[in-house]
Amino acid sequence: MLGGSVGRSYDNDGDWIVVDGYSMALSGPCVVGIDEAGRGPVLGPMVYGAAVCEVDKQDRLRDLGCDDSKAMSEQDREAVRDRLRDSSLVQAYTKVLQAEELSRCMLRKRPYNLNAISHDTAAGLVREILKDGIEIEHLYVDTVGIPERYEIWLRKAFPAIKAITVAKKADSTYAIVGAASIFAKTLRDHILRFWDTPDLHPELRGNYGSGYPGDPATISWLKRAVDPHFGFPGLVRFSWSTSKNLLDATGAVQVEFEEEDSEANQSNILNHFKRKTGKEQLPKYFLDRRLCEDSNFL
Amino acid sequence: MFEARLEESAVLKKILDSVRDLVQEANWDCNDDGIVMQSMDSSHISLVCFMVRASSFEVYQCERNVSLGVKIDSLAKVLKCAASDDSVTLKADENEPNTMDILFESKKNDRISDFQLKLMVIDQEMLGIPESDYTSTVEMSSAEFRRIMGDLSTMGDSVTIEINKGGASFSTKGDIGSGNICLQKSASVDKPKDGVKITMVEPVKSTFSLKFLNIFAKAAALSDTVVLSMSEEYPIRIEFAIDKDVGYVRYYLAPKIEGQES
Repeated sequence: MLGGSVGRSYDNDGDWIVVDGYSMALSGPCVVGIDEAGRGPVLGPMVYGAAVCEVDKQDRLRDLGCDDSKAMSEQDREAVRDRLRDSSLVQAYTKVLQAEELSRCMLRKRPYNLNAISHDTAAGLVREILKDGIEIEHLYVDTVGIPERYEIWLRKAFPAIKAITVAKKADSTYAIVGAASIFAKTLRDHILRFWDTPDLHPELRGNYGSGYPGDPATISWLKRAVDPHFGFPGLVRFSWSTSKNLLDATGAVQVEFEEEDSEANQSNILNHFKRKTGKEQLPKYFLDRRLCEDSNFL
Repeated sequence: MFEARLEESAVLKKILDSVRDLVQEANWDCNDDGIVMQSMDSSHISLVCFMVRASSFEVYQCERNVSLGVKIDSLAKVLKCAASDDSVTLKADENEPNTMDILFESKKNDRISDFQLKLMVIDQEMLGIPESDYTSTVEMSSAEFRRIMGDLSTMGDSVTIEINKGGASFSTKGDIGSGNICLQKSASVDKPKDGVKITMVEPVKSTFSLKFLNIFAKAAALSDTVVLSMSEEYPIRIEFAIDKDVGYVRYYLAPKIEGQES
């Protein structure tokens, strides 16, 4: 479904992690880079990528074109990704966080904010890599939030990893992070471009634009997709202010949720007291004439 | 002709106040014994009934049993026109009870008001309430009961009432915390009504909606004491006896089902 050579995809506690180039045999200590794609957009998933490469081969990544994925055109990105796949230098782990899941986390009673989601997802990928028996010599992470704090948190979570570097713009500084960003970004673009779920009206399929609120194509798609009763399809992140504002502007129906029924486990008086039957239930006509039922009549 | 005369309208006013939050309209069944009303609330969770005994009326005449379909709010409005110490007389045609005549007379007999209230035909189901033997009862001051219910509703929606050897306890749990009020047997020599009498054949524990209990507690205006009667997995009966053997107001409330405490 993703095109190219997906080596393995498997379920980890109900979440899908896709591993690219699983068949390659990594030997010796490795460097790992982690970056994300699709943090800001109002449409589509956020994708987390981790790239793994043997320490002594990492110099060759730059030659293959690994850099900040945002600085490249879409075609270039895909070309670099294909080259990385063919080179058998990099094993990439990617995790997709769907828009619906992000909305749910951020809008729940005790919000699970995007930074916390990001940190936990990155840590999840590292755990997955370690589980596969890979020895991590140095972990490079593009920061989310304050780099120093994030780094301390990661060190605490992974005391066995010798070196951890968390930095701003790590994707352009470290080639291995650039590789991670390319895998994440190309996967996200691919998912958004071919997005097609049953909750979408046929007329709404395609033309999503980049998914960022600044993209006129995305905004025009959102305006077509909004429904005053049903809101947006699952592709849209409900927790983003762009979608909230658009709902208000459309005159979406306000819903008041009634308080939860506190009488849900309440029993009924009729379970205990039975309706009276017999004489007292006879119609007025019979009562007035002092008539009563006689079972021996027939 | 059905005719019933009460010395003071206040009693009737208080009875109406004790049922009007639960029942909009109900049949008042009049027979030789007195006037009886029984009705469930619209959600069928509780049942209220009252009785005013024939002997407590100054004049009571009921040649034939008759059901008067009363809209409670309308009758309450009419009764607002009476001073508390005015006497009140209810009259209705037993054969065709389409209206009820309500007559107020002031103590000095210098003012007589006469109202006609339209009656309704109410198709109402009567429930048979078994005169069951409750396993435990608590008799206490009605003001104290009202206070406990009010206090506990600041914390939660339901109250668990437990009667055992130690006494009677009322506990609740809510979002902000929990609370427990425990009463022990006590006899107050000076004021018998302030004592707590507990009889227990078997310990019992059930949970009830505080919303309803708070409505019931308003009937404290009718009586100084209240009797709570309970059996396991059975509706609680809360009885307010009206002074001087006039009658009673009784409430029955179905328990909450155990297990899915939310």
